[in-house]
Amino acid sequence: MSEPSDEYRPGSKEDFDRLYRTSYPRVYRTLAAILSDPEAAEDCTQDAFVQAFQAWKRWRPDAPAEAWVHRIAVNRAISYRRSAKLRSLGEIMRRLGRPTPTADPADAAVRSDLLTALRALPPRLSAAIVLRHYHGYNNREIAAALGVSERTVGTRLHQAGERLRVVLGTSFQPGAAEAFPSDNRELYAKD
Amino acid sequence: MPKTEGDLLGRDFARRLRAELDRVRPRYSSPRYMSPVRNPLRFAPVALCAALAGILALSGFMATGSPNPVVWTQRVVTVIEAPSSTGAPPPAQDEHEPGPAAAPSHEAESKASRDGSEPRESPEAAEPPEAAESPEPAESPEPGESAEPTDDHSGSGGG
Repeated sequence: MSEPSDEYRPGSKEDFDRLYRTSYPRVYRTLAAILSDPEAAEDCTQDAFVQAFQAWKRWRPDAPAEAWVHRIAVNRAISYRRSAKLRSLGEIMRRLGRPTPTADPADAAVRSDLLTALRALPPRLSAAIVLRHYHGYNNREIAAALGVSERTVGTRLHQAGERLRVVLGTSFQPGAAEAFPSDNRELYAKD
Repeated sequence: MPKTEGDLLGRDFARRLRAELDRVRPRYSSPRYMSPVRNPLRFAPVALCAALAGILALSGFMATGSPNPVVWTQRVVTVIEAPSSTGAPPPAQDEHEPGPAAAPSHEAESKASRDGSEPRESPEAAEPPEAAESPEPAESPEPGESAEPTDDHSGSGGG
């Protein structure tokens, strides 16, 4: 956690501004591990802060403020991925019979097999992984951020770890991003 | 001892994940929560009330022909009180134009003729002098409607 939750007062505009400045990049990076589109990650992060601001008076300091915003943001990202899957189906239908667009080689250079594998996971699993291994949340904080029990958090972390280990396998070595095939399509896992 | 997710992923995972996500640079656009655009439905209740009031005013105007709300109120009071005082539905009063002789009391009489045994429910039904008090029957006797008073008179007697 970046800041203790007791520093924020519910309903205080100044405190919410401070929460935004502190948490925006962290929440954005969480969603960047869930969503492959940076603009979508930014949209969902902004939407999450809009929702959080509207409910800021009702926030209770018993849960960390950043975990609370994370919860809203992850739910928003899950909704976005559901609608994105529907849009991708429509796109596939429109492209039937046409030549497949070639991937941009420059795009592959900035891609990461680790992030690609994370984005292929169900969003609840990838969110748990990012909250644990990037933000350093403990199980209780992850449970507050995802709105589940600590036991569920443990199960999700275990499932995500197994899946990532299988997907990454031997390619999971530092610097393996350049060796990733240049395919700009990312398959979303079932939510 | 069961393996944790950290054992499954290896020690290198967290370091690698931090390196990858730290490379992600969020764009600091202006916070949307500070924008003045708010919920477009916040005026919906007010708009709904205004629409209902407008519909009510329009229907009141169409029913009475007057833009004065006092007239609408009087019309409502008249319509509500008329059935309760006479016991007959108000449209019957509109349908029967006042006849030459028995028109002022035709409602009471016709009710008495229909009910037969209950002519005394309404006190107005037992007031034949109303016909004499009202000048209307003498002014415009309509021969086409003379059958009704005749029926009423015969009905009142025969039951």
